Amino acid sequence: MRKRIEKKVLELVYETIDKGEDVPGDVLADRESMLMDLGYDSISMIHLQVEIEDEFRFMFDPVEDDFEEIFSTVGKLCDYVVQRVKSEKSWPGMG
Amino acid sequence: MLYHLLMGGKEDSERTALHIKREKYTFCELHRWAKAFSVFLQNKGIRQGDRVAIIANVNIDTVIAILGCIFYGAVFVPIDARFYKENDCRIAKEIEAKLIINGLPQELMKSSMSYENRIRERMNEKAQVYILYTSGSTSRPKGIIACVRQVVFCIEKINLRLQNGTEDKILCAIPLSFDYGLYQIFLSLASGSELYLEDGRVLQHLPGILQKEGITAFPAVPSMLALLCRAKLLQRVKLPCLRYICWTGDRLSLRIVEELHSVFPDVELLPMYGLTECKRVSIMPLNCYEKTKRGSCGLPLDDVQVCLQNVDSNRVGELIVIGENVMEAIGKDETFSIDPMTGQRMLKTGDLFFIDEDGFLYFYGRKKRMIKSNGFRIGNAQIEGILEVLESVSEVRIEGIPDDVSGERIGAAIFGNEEAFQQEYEGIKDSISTLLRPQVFYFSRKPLPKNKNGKFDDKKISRILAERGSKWNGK
Repeated sequence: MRKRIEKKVLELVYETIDKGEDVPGDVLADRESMLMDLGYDSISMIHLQVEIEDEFRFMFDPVEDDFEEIFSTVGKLCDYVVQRVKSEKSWPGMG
Repeated sequence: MLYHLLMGGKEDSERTALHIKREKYTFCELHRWAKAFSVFLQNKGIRQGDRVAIIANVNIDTVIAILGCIFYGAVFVPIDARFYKENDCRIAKEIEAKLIINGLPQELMKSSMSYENRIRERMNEKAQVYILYTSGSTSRPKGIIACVRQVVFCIEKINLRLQNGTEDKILCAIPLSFDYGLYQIFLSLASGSELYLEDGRVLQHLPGILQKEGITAFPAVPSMLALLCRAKLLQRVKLPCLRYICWTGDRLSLRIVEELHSVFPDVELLPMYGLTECKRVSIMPLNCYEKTKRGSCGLPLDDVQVCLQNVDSNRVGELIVIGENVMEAIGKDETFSIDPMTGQRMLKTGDLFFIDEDGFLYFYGRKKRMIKSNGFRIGNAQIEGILEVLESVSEVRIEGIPDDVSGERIGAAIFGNEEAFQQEYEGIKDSISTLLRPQVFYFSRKPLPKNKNGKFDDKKISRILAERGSKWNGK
């Protein structure tokens, strides 16, 4: 299931990125890729957050969540989403 | 004079003045380092009135450099760190900066104590304080010079209207190269409040800071508030300490205002209007907005006069501002002049306004952005105001698209749900004057392009509309 969640997160990252068409797939799939380096800014990052919430049916907590950390790299974002989806069993795509 | 307004009587205070990156700084520390920085400037051969470019990262170094320049009498020029390239800084060259500060030298912080009392504040009221470059959202960026008298005037009048005081905690995530962000340093120091500076790269954590730190004042830009509302992040925090949210730089959709009001019914919502050329012109007075003045950007500040020029049949005209808040431009600039009646500085804002019988200002549109279609002048803000209340619209921008027949066609760039918009628009279309109906639409699944200060990038949006917009088909 982890792979399916990660694949979906990467799809959303690709869709919401400002310069998505310029980012090669292997760079995007690199867990160490920084979202800022991929062309993300404060606006597109919020857009990505909304897309993730809509897709995976959980809500970020603005008081407890460390957004700077969660949205720092592709890998950290995937890890966070996987952990939330598993704990809340919120994603319809879990099957 | 200016430094005294900011730090006078607080030089030895151990109260916290500033929070940056989870570090706290007292008034006393800021004062000591500002004095040390002034000695550093002296040692570098900088003289009073020399220009010092400061790469305005959001960190303690930038704040100390700004305060040190004010204390010493050097003119500081904040430069947006995101656009700074070493050896290729156009602004630094243009203003002939004697020094570029990009972080403080380490020895300065260690040896600050030994510089006590060697330099005293030396700025008179005519001395230049800073040069700021306009965002260039409608024309080429231009350098604006502010003198002590003008800065002191603006700080005092703004703090008076907002009633900032020692109990306040202000959260600022606006770039310090933008006058709105820079003045938060001035306003908080002068009023003795605590300032929380954030770099704004990750906006999502701002609601958490508002709640955890018990913030009382939140100066924001409309795009920031709209995004935080759209992501439902402001709706997830409890803010019993928050006294006011204010905004400037653009219009905030009335739908977002309503949403903010429903979530925070006790928080004052304060629209404002201003330009780098005259800092602040108007702020909604406290306890006013909810009563009758929705859609207005407030009353002029005390001792600021306004009037309208070339008023049309709808009582809309270009706003003229007269007062000590009017700054100066580098080089010749016809928008600045002297009012023959009062002898005070006067600015043609280039913005179209309506003024009601109580003196409240209502923004109608940028003069340069006015759409001229079939011989009519149409204010884009008027159409934006109609469309932005629709549920399906998260952001809307109206632009003129050159057209051989009509002069310009009305284009609407919309970030939102296209299908839902079609249904909603069909329902209201007949109530919109045919003159005001957009003829070309562009729907985006992403937020519309913004510039570095969070304002809409109108040049880019116009280009997108011209290249990718399509005619309305309706249903």
